[in-house]
Amino acid sequence: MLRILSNVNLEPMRCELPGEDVSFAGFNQLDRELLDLSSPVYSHDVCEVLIFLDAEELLKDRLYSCPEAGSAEAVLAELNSLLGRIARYAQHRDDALVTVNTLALPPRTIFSHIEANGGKGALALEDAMNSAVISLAQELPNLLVLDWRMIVKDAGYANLADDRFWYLARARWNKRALRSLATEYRRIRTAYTRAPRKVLLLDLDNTIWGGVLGEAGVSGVELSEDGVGKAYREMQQVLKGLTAIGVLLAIVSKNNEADVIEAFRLHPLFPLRLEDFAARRINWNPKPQNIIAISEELSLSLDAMVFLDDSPVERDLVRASLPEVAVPGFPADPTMLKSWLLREIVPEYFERLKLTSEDQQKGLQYRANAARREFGKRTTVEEYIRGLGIELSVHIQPWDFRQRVTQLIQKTNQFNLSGKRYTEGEVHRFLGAPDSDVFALEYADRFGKEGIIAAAIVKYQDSEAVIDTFVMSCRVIGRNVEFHFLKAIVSHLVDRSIKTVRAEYVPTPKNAVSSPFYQQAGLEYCTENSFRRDTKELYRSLSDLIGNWEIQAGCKLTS
Amino acid sequence: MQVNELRDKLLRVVADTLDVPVADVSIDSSCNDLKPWDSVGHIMVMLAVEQGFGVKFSVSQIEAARSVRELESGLLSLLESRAG
Repeated sequence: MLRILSNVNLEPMRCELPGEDVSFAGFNQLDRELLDLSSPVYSHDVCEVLIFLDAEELLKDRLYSCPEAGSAEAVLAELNSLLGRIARYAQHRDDALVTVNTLALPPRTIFSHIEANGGKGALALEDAMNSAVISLAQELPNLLVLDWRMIVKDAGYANLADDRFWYLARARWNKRALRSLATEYRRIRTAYTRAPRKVLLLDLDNTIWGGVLGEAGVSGVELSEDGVGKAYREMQQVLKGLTAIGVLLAIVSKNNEADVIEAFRLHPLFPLRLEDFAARRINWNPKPQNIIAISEELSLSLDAMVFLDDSPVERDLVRASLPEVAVPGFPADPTMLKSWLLREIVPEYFERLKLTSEDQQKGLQYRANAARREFGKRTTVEEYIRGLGIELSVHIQPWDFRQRVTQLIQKTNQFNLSGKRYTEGEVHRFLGAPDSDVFALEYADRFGKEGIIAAAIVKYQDSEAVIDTFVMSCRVIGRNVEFHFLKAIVSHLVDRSIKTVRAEYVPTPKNAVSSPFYQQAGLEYCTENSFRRDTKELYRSLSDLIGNWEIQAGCKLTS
Repeated sequence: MQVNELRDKLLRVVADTLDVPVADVSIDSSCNDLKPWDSVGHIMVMLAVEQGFGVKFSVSQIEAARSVRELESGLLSLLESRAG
């Protein structure tokens, strides 16, 4: 159940959350609920809490006197003690997802222009209050911040606040505001619990540029500094920005490939370069067929993909034949493209709460993989793996990589032995608990660094170790690094005097590729999909296996 | 918009907002006999009617409209004053 607490009357939000199991703390019961351990917010039915703080109500009448000495300090001190209570709650209920908002003061105050001209005012206070909220989230893995200030700036305070209902019922925010709050809450909750989509498939003609290349020719394509051409140019800038948060762009276009290459080469104003695309299918085949080919090339499933095309015929075809691919509509008016991407497409499909360094380098990594594939065509498997010059590091209790470890556990479908999904809060608990260890594997080779590409969670029960989770990115499948990783883990178990290792393979619709792993590694089949082996024997078996392959992988353990 | 059409739409908005079957809402329904029409339900209904019909009630109209009939008369007077 979702419980909503606020210092204003937020209950009219109920009708913006249809189908949601939701309850509201009474108006202004925020402090009491957080302090009283017997209040509903501490009940175990509650697994999500949204705490909405109305900034104006936090300030009360000091909004009109805040530049005075002491006034701002008093507001901040009160806010910090409230945030302290929220933090204690989030720590106490580390199995619940707690969301707090950034604060938005009414932008027009007595001091607006005084502050704009260098004097003191409320804006500086708003910034200080938000810094306090933001730093709270950095400390607590199960606490999210919803950017309410962004919503208010985007729509405009005057369009969202309604003084009639404020005075009648202490309900400051109108239907539009509450709907935006509910939508944004759902989006960030999804981003916290599920992996976002990874690939944006793009048509070219009348999608990322104006006009049809095959008809108008390279010079006839519209994308310039003048007029509506700039709409496509700015859309491309947004798309290029997406590559920096780990979204892969791919072209699916009916065109002559040579014309397209020429268009990119001759158009210096294209913000997107051909190298920005991780894959491309430019031909006259049906688009669903090309999308499947891209899915295979990138080793990413169809449900990780979004398809943008101006043609309703192509959209319907993809929707009908590949229902896993998300196919949103497309604006008829190109001047809406930028705003549509930013307000609808990005938050709906690509919302991210945290950025890992792997996200930022994803495009580079996929291009390095293309180079590896070229290299792989020329040699045998053994020569290929040896020639890669793989370097591995195993991290035990990888606190610094916990976001990436969580991401791997949530996203990995194929090489995922147990199919378990954990949130960052849960991973945090495994890291800190005495009866579990978390491992992460870092990978590099002559083509580049891949960063953390595998993770495992081991739980201990007396002198037995259970491999609870073992996941590895599909990018490195087929290079035998999973055996090195397991060997390093088992070596740690030998040091811990663990007698037996137990592991379970849980079949899911997508993890067949990992089903033989435990048996290949030397674990012995005991009951259905369950394996075990004496720890020292398993270590010897893995050492022999790896010795036979002569893989040159320097594997060092760092904690 | 015809008065009948307006009434049907109003009944639908009230029913959807309070999450009750439209058959349970009539022109004589009021906050006394529709259970979800409590103080919070009232705000939700007023906000939804304002959005659905593109009008803005005065505070006294909001306070007075305790039944669908009162709501309709407030709505009609706003729409008439806009037309005139």
